[in-house]
Amino acid sequence: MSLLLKVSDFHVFYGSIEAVRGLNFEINKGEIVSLIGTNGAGKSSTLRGLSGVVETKGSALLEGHEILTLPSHKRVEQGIVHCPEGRGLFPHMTVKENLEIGTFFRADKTGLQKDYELCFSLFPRVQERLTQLAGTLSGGEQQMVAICRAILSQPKILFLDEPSLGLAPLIVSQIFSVITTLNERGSTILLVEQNARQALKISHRAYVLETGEIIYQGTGQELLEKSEIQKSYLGI
Amino acid sequence: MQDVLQHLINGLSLGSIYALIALGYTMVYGVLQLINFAHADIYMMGAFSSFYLSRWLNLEAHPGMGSLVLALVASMATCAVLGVTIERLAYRPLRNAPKLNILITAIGVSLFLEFTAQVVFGADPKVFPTLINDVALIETPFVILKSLDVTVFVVTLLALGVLHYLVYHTRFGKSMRAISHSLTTANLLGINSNKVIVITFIVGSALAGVGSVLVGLKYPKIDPLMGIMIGLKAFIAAVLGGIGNMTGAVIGALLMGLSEEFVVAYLSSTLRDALAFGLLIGILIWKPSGLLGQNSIEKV
Repeated sequence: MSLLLKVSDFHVFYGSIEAVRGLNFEINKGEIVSLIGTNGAGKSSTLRGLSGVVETKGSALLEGHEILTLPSHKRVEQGIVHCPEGRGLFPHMTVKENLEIGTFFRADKTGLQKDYELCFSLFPRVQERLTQLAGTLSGGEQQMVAICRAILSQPKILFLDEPSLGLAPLIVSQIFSVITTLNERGSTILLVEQNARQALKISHRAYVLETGEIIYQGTGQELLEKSEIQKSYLGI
Repeated sequence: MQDVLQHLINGLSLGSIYALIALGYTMVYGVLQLINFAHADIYMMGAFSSFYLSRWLNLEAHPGMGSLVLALVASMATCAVLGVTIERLAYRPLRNAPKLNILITAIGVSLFLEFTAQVVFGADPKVFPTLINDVALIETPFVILKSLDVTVFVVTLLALGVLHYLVYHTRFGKSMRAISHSLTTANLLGINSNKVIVITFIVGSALAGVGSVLVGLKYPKIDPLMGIMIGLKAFIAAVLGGIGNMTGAVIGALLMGLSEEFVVAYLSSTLRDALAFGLLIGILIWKPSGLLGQNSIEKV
């Protein structure tokens, strides 16, 4: 397994408040890695910091190249693709326009066509809704569009922030199975989830965050069996 | 009542000029949530640049399409360059500062332009050259359709057409609409927001440049403070339509032009400005989001 993203001594700030305090973690090519923890533990802040929309300190090497010095739109071009919490669709644009926005920097027409086909095979519903305004879709459909949009940005590493938030159980399991499918097709995924049990089940490895620091790490299975984790995060 | 049609023509002509300026306010507000108070003075600078170009090339001696286009290009280019410069030097350094700071800066830039213009161009009004022959195209006992009004309509429609294409059919337009919904999300999608913001300033300012030439033709007296009143009215038109909403800005501006014309025609010309500000107060009381604006719910 080869190292894809190496994050060291990583801090995130909101003004004078430090939300993430010196994280060190690694993601290998082809892995699903989860960040779990309670509200305010710094999971989303970590993703936002790596994507460049909040202030950070430290280092993050993508295939050996520092990304924290790049503006956020350059990081997307480098392959850091972030599917944000709450989906972040543009409600007054059509589904098609929403998808296109994620592809503006891509020049490879044939590769893009293949990625569209992949999206429509994962989520046939998205293809049916192309001409509809995104704001008229159900929450689950919106999440599907958001994931498609991220796939179309050609990620080297895909950040998924709370993809199951607020969705019906049936849709949640569909989303999780798509995450697994994407991973089997070679995608590397950094997943942030409140739904710790589901996340740990599909993750190769996971980090547990508390008040901006990593308190446990291990494989998904190890953490599922750890009694402290079961008590605090899995409600057993 | 036979002159209603005439007032309708005049009102629409005035309203379409307001629309060109109102769009600049609403577009910049859309991407930055900033009321660009300097916009009215960018417009004034556009009028002066086309004034000086016309004098330099002696365009008044050859009225016609060619002269009009030259004046438009000069004015649009000046406004675009000025708009980008202001964004770069005054607004961009404050991108992450509290909104109030950048608003006060906008007022400062506005005053700076107004008083610099008074020093450079002189405070006395100048007569804008006649760039096209104002002949009556249709003349009936009830209504006169003059070539100037037709020019105003045609130029405005062309400008709006180009704008519509830019906003709904280009990457820039889609990116701009994405940014006006959420700057953060747009950044996460690989949109270079600085670039889009710069283009927004270029387009919005160039529209004001078009407006300034049309106003110069219609009301041929320009001075360094000419932007203040028309800027306020265009701003009110943008608020009336729903600030940030481009269709709203056009509708608001046309309503504004028409109601001014009719108030002057049937009530009293002294009520012209009172009407504009009355409209602003009314809309702020009864529908603060504007005619087409949506109430934005801020999620926390």
